[in-house]
Amino acid sequence: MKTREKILAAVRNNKPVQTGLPAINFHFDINGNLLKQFRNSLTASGAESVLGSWRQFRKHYEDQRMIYPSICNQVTSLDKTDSSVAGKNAAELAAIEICYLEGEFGVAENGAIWVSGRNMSNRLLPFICQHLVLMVRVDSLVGDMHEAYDMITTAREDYGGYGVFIAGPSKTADIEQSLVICAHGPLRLPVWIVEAEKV
Amino acid sequence: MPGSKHAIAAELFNADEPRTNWHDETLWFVRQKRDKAAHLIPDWEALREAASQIKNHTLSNLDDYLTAFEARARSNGVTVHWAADAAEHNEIILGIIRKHGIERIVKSKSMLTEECHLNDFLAKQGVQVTDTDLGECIVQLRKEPPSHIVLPAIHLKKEDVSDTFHEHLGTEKGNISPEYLAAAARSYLRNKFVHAQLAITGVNFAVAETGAVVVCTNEGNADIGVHAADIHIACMGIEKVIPQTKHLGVFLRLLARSATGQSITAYSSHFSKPVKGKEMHIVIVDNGRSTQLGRSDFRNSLKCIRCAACFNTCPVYRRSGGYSYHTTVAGPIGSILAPNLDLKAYSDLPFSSTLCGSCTNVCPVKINIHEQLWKWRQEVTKHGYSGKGKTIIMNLMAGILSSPVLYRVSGKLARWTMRHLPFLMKSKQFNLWYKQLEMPEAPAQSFTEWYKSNIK
Amino acid sequence: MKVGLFVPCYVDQFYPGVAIAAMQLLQKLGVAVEVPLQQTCCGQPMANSGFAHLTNGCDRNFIKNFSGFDYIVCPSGSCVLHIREHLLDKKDPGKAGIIRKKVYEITEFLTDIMKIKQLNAFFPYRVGLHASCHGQRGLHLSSMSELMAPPFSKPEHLLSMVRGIEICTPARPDECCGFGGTFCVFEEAVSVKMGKDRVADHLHNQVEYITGADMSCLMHMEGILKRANSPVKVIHLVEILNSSCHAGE
Repeated sequence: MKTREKILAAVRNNKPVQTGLPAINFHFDINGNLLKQFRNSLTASGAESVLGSWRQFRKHYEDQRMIYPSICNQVTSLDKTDSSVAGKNAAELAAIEICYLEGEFGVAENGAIWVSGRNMSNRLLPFICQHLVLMVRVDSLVGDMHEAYDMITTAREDYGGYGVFIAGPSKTADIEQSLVICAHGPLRLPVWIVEAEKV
Repeated sequence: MPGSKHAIAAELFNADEPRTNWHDETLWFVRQKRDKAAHLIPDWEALREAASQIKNHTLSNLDDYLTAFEARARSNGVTVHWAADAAEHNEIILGIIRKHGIERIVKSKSMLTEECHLNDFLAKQGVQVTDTDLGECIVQLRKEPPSHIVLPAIHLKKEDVSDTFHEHLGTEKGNISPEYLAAAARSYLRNKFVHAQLAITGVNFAVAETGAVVVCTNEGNADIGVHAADIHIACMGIEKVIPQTKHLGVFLRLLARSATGQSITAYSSHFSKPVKGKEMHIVIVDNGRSTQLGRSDFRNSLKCIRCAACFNTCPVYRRSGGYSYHTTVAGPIGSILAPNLDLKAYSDLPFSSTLCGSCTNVCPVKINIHEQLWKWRQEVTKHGYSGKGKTIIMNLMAGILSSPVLYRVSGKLARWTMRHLPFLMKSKQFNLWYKQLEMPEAPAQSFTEWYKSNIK
Repeated sequence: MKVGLFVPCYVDQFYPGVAIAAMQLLQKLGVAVEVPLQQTCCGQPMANSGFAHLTNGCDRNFIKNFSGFDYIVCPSGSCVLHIREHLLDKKDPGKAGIIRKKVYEITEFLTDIMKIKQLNAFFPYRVGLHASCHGQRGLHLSSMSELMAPPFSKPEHLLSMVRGIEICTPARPDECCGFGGTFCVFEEAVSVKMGKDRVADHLHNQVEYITGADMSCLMHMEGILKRANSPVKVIHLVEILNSSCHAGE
């Protein structure tokens, strides 16, 4: 406990005169079209996006399920979710070819999708599988990061101990500034933007 | 006149002019990407002001925010440690490693762990750490430190990376394709991730309201490591704490745009609670920061969010490289942080600048970097580190320049010498200025002499 | 309007033509210009080297020479910035405070105080405009490429009143020339490299002259141009603004 007290005492002693917090009242201009802005941002981040109905998304899933035996679904409204992954280690999870995850919402400003720990049985899933299919509903889109954090803080429930904004595939420019997509993580990251059901 | 450490290193760097041009152009391009991204945000300057005020407020209540953060983190099941300095930080991490008999460790980018020389310390204890950020992986294999806090391998060309990977990862000799090299790194690092027992990460922001730590990467290497391993250690300086979750909105909008021109990094990860059965630790480190907090002229350097926009805009950094600053965090921000740690050792850094002020303008949290550089120069002299020769000359100059008579006489003498004894001025030995450029012409009359003879 | 001409020490000694042009230009515009003849130096060389505590003598001499003017005008952004930020007299802080408010760099004096709308100047050449850092970022003589704000430039505004001139901006519109005062001696390698790059950027536009509001930057670039045997010349902004009759007209 000694170090803690020493540091806090030094901080208390040295901190400057009180200043206040500013109001946070900023907005990103989505040019009147949330969906279009979101898709443009996704493209800029290197992600492919597909816009479709729930039926089309379900069909896509069923087609992939026939091709990939080790498909892992975490979208509760799509199919039974695979909770066995909770107990699997990294080596075992690395064998998963395709994983379906639902993002809680998307951010038009930058194409980021909030994936919370509540929506997956294993936090390693978005990173370890070969292909990741991220689904987000059109009516969940928000304009900017301020709205995004409003969503996160008003969601009463803590985001399950882990949450991540995923904006496009893993990338690096560390080799002489040449952009390489999929440095780590999934080799493909299509984002399915699912339209609201028409009544 | 003996050169400063930075000046000597910078001269060596400039000896290879084509390479200097390449380094300069590469980083200038990153600056331009930042400009492009900022131009798309009409609120940009207001966002900077808000970020600056949030950080100022936090520093003025730092003890309260740190204790609030600690309390929340603890209630989330996280173990919180405090380290007064680098040595204590390193010992804490070693302690956790020994306790669990850990052998396989991965680390994502953390300038704090670089500052504490963690890898070297652990290596001496027989413990190996793999740096998983591609840029850091490259420099680690080369046994070099990072030269830039965001782009660690910016000083290396494809050929350098290819040679390094050929030597250490067995890639094809001479294959310089970035995709090929990155793929080789991917499989090398995936193997490390999958078997990792401990993942060490840095912290971009520590949220007092929730006890969460936020880590921003483009590669996702922080996440893979943390979720694959059983233990996560997040290392943070005391200045990383911010008050509320909603403030992340301001900082995340500024950080990637300032750093690389992206609207956001590929992954912005929020870690608050470990998965059941796993452990999460946070090490809160002082290492001179509380001292800097007490320096009224320099305390707001602690607002830094380590975006490196100042590096990219600095015409000196671009033409001298990170290593010439001989400190972990280089560039303009490093030049106002390092003197706090050891004024004597880093007395050259405040002078490695023309005080152009560009850094201050790009700083997302409005640190008045160039003004602090000027103020550190006064501190260097005040503490006696300005060098005897320079001190004598300055005293001489002050004497001459404050006396109208001495000023006029010296001016006339200097001009006379330049006109009648040019060999003195043109000696590269005596006149450093003359090494690479011509001296100005020395007129027969100064303006005041002309004025007296023509006007008065 | 009583105006005192503040002549930077190195302009006084090495570029008297700039001070002459500044004086003549102001007089042409109807300003009664006085030149305090006991002025020396603003103290910046010492202050920027970490020896601000040695500038009392310079400060006192400056205050002695420049008290009693309505405006103090100077053809140098860096000198004006230094006075505005650092002029001090512990014995009479009020006096120093008054002077700090009255000192103007000549470009801003012409645009903001005199608000001139036209000039009888003629300079039919391609001219590269160099944005000197202290004037630009310190005195806000023009907008800055780093800041998201509407573009403007007081120097360019004045130059646009000159007949025949073709103003060119380099690709990096406001990168530092590398002079930096004693930086050019103590960090000579980087200083020269920065200067060479600035010059090359201007030369890309095939300019005949490089101009700006600070002779120190121009002196640095001139040294590089001359060493490279370039025909391109440097000229201070006030010399262009003052050029009413030029060979060839």
